[in-house]
Parts: sequence; structure tokens; C-alpha cells
Amino acid sequence: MSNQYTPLRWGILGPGSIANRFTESIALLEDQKVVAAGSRSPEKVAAFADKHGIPNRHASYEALCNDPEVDAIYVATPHTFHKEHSILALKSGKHVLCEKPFTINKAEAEAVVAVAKETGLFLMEGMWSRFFPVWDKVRALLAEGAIGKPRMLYADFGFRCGASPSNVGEDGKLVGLNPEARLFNPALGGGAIMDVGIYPVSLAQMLLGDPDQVACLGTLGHTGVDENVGMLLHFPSGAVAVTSTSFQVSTPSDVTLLGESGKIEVAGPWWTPRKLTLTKGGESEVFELPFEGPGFQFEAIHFAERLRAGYKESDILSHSDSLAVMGALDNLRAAIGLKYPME
Amino acid sequence: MSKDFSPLRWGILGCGSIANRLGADVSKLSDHKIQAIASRDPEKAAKYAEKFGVHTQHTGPDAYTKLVNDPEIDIVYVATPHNFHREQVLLALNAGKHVLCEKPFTVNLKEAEELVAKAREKGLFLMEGVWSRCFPVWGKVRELIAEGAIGHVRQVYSDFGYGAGSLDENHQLIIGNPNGRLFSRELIGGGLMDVGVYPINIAMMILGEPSVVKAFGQLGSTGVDENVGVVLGFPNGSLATCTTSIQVTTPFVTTIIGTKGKIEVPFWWRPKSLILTANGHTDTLEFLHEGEGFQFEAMHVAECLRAGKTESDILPLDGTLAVMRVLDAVRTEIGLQYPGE
Repeated sequence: MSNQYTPLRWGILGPGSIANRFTESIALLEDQKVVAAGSRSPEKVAAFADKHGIPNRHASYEALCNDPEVDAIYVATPHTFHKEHSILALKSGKHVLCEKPFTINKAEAEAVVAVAKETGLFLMEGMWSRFFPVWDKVRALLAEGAIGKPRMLYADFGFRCGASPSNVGEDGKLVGLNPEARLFNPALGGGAIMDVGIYPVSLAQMLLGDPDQVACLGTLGHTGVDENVGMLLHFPSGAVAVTSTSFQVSTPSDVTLLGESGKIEVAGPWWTPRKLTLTKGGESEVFELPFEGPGFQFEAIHFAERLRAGYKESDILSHSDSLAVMGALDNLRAAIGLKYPME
Repeated sequence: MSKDFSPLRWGILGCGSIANRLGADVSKLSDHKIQAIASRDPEKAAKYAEKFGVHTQHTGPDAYTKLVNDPEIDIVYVATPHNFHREQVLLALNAGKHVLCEKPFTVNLKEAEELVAKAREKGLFLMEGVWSRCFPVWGKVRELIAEGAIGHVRQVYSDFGYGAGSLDENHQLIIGNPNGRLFSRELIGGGLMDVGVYPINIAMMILGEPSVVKAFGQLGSTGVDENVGVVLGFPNGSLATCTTSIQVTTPFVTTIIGTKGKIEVPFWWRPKSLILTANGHTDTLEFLHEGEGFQFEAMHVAECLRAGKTESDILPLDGTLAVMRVLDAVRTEIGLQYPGE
């Protein structure tokens, strides 16, 4: 059936801020449509659906997942609910795009992947950065050997939180935080590693493969989550990724990949990039790859293409890739003693 | 009795590339004089002496002993390969001479402790020649941080690596001369001790002594490190990431990130500018200079000596010992031991 999933009809599970940006991005696509949204709060669903002109409104996640007009569910709830909601959607017969981090830990991720295999449905982690044209171009450059063997990767993602003007106390910990807020609350999978540190880790996995060793330095803040972290990843090829994340400071947001015969720089913010610079033999070439909207359309385009082609998982972000990233995150967190209450 | 050290009379021990580079800058300073050069090879010494107008040449098998006993020199600059530093610094100190010793100070902490103890016992000036710390740009950076221009410093990134060839199928360098200084374990080769000392040194200048050191590194076919990533954790929770490589040329940038802004220093080990971003503004401050910049280290040494100091305040001996302790820890992490250790 050639016109299956055309348009691809999305249901939004968890209409929060990330869902807003996703839905705005889908509006740019002719062959995809957000047709439904679901939340436990009818007011939230109504406000979200009104804003985006979404016809089907559901007052429960179950109802959303059983909506016959929905092909795929976008799971956009906080990290701690990803496993439950992804499994709910899969068991209801829907394909799933689940926001990053895929789950809280690797064990949860394995459980979700197992359900996808069992049901034969398409499941992908919504690590949107991977699908931007700049990263397509970087993968192509690497594949054609433009910089030789990659040896070292630098990537950072951190942003400043807390009180103003002084956000870090004498003890080196953030002050002025709301301990209940998602970013800082251990019960909601808080901390910089799981919120934004996952980006450089996932990037390193994409560019250098599955890490075989990780090291992590960082101390936990007053709310019990990580606030300022250095992460080293080592790969079987001997390549090294040097990455950092923070809620204490805004980091430069740049990526540099060094290969034996050249380098690739992706200007910040590299997780939604528009430009890359390739330098080799003393010459630099700049590739500008602009786009419209928030940028979630690229993961949605990829998702739809692979789904229509009959794939069960993505070839750019496979189940195995997501599991490797979750495993690395488990080890990084263990190294600094960050265990969540539900673990 | 304190002397005026005007001019400061240098005795150069070893006349390899670093001695030539320092000579080029120091010979232009009016209140410094390269008084003597020592090399076992008379031809090399003659060439150096001619190039920089050096008064005395000490040559032959006991060239270094003659140099350190030369009554017309005030300070010895030890510019031989790493593995000779311990022996030659001791030689100079025992002869009653002040010493500036090229980085890395020694092969390991144990050797460094011996030298520091000797200098303190003799009451002589001793400093590790980490020339980077003496540049005006770094003086300005220290000042900006001290006055709170970027708030609390929480992260520092620094790199220094250069590609020394192409790689084989095992991702190791294809090495032409395994006995060369850079590759030989006997000559304390590897990226870490050659240039990796710089990012670690500058990170520690900014953040002090780390409480935790983690590193990953790849050893090449000659058994020395070729590609290394280090993360340092400090007691107040701040961090530094440092990288070094002889497989790839790194970006050559040090970035210092604080709670109110950041400072970037390009070509940071011999910098001419810094970029300060704070309060929504980005300013580039330039500090141009002649030559390569070894004059700053020489001028700093002269200032210390003239003030009667036995240690530098920009790089005190405890700072050097701390750096050596970290280098030992990094080498333990990556499994790099040198012969005789």
C-alpha cells in the first residue's frame, strides 16, 4: 500500500513545551499532521489543541493511544514516564517517537525495545539533533574519509540556572533552585547529564561508535542531582570524546571533531546546527545548511520515511544506538553516585 | 647580600631548539646577557655563541660542570631533554647557581621533590620554565578572574596536540624513527610530557590543585601516549578538561567558563589576545609583542631575583610539584611508565 502513512498522523502524548515545538515543526510538513493530543489535564489538552488546531482531544493517555486516527505517538512527558508511556503506545498498536532521554536507564530502555520487537512496531528515540542537515553532511563527510580516522571529539552543552547575580555558593553548589522543578528533582530524573549531557554523549556515539569506557567527574548539588560535570568517553579505536555539561554555567555550545587528516567544526548551538566548517590541508570550507522552524521536522521526516519504507527501527538512531547511549549514561551517573529514587 | 643582577647573566645548558628560541628573545633584552653557553659539541656551542653574541663557550665532556662553575653567570637555564633535567638542575644548584629549568620539570614527582628540596636547602632560586604563564595575556586573565569579571570559574577547557604523522590500521602512528625524542620511552617521549604538560599546567594555574584525576589515552607502537583526554576535578566542584595528542592537531584554545561569562585564549601557550564575554558583550583584548615571547619568562625571573625571591609567585615550586603529581596520576591512568620508574 503505497500511500500508507501519507499523511503520517501524529498523536501528542504530554502537551508540554517540547510538544509545542514539535507540533510547530510538523506544521511545516505537507505529508504529516498532528491529529490528536492527550493529557490527564483536560484544560491543558484543550489549550494545546486550540493553539495548534488539533481535532482529537483526549483526557487520558490510554484514550489517545486508542485513537484509530493516530498512526504514531510522540511521547513528550518527563523522562521518568517515558518507559510507561512508550510501552502503553506500543501495546495499543502505535508506532512511537519518544523524546530523549529514551528512558531513565538502560534496563528501562531494554524493556521498551523488547515491546517494540514483540509488537513489530517502529520505535525511535527523539534525539532530534542527529537528523539535522548539518549532521547528515558530517556523516557523509566521515563516510567518504574527508578527515581520515576520527580521533578526538569536543562537545559541550550546559546552561546557567539558579539565582542572579550569584548562582553558585561558597560550597560550589547552585543556590536559588526550586527543588520540585523537573531539572533539579531526582524523582523526575533531574540533573544536567540526563537533560543536556545526553546530547554530547549521543553525538559521540554517533560519530565514534559505542564507547568501551567512560569516566565522569562532578558533584551533586543541594537537590541531589548533578550540576557541573566533565565526561570522558573512550572508544575501541583509541579515539576519545571530551565532553561537559552544566547547570551552573553556559558552555560555549561548540563541537570540534579532529581526524588524522582534518577537522570538522559545528558552530553553536550544535544540537540545532546551521553551519559546519571542514578544514583540511590548510584550507577551510564552510557549509551553510539553513532551515525553518524549530527543527523537529528533521526527525519527523526521517521517522516517516523509514516507517513508509517498512523499517522497524531507524538506521541513523537504532535501538542498539539508544541502548549504548543509555548504558553510557548509567555508567557516567554511577561514577558520580547519581542514583534516582525509582532505581 | 642581594645582588642587582643588572644585567642578569645567563648560562645556557644545552643548545637545542628551545635554547635557540629562548636565546633569540633574551639576547634582545637590554638588562639581560647570555654570558655562557655549554654544549659537549664545540661546533654547536660556537654556532650558538656567534648567533647570540655569547661571551663564553664551555665545551667537551665536562662542559656542563664548567658552565655551572663559571663565576660570571648568575643563573643556569636547563634546556636539555626531559630525562636529563634532574641531574643537571642538581649540578647547577650544587654549584650555587639559580636555575630556570625547561618544562616538564622532571620525569616524575619523585625527581621533582628532590630538586625542590635541594633548592630550598641551598636558598637558591628555582623555577620550571612554563613560559606561557609569564605572558601579558595570562597576567590579564589572572587579573580579570581575581576581580570577578566572569564570576566563579566552573569549567576550563584546554588543548595542545599536533599531528605527527598518519595512522596505521590499528589507529597508531606510523613512526619513521622510533628512537626519536618524541617516540622513545627512554627519552620520556609521548604527547603528554611534550605538550600535554601545558594544558594541565594552565588549568592548574586557574583552578589550583585537583582532588581527582581521570584520563583515557592510547599508547602507540613505541609504547608512548599518542592521544589523551584528561578531566580534573577540583575541591570546589569546578572541572578542567585537557587534551593532548601527537595524532591530531588540536584547536589550540583555552576556554575559561565562569558563572558570569567566559574568557577564550587562542594560541594560548604563547598568546597575543584574549576574548572576554561577559554582560552580553564580547571584547577582544590584544597584547602584541616582539619575538616568540620567551622574554617574558626571562624578565619575570629577573624580577624575582632582583627582589631576593627564591621562588616565582606566578609558578611557585609547590605548583610545579602539584603539576608533577597530576602528570604521574595521568600516566598511571593510561598505563604509561618510563624505564627505571
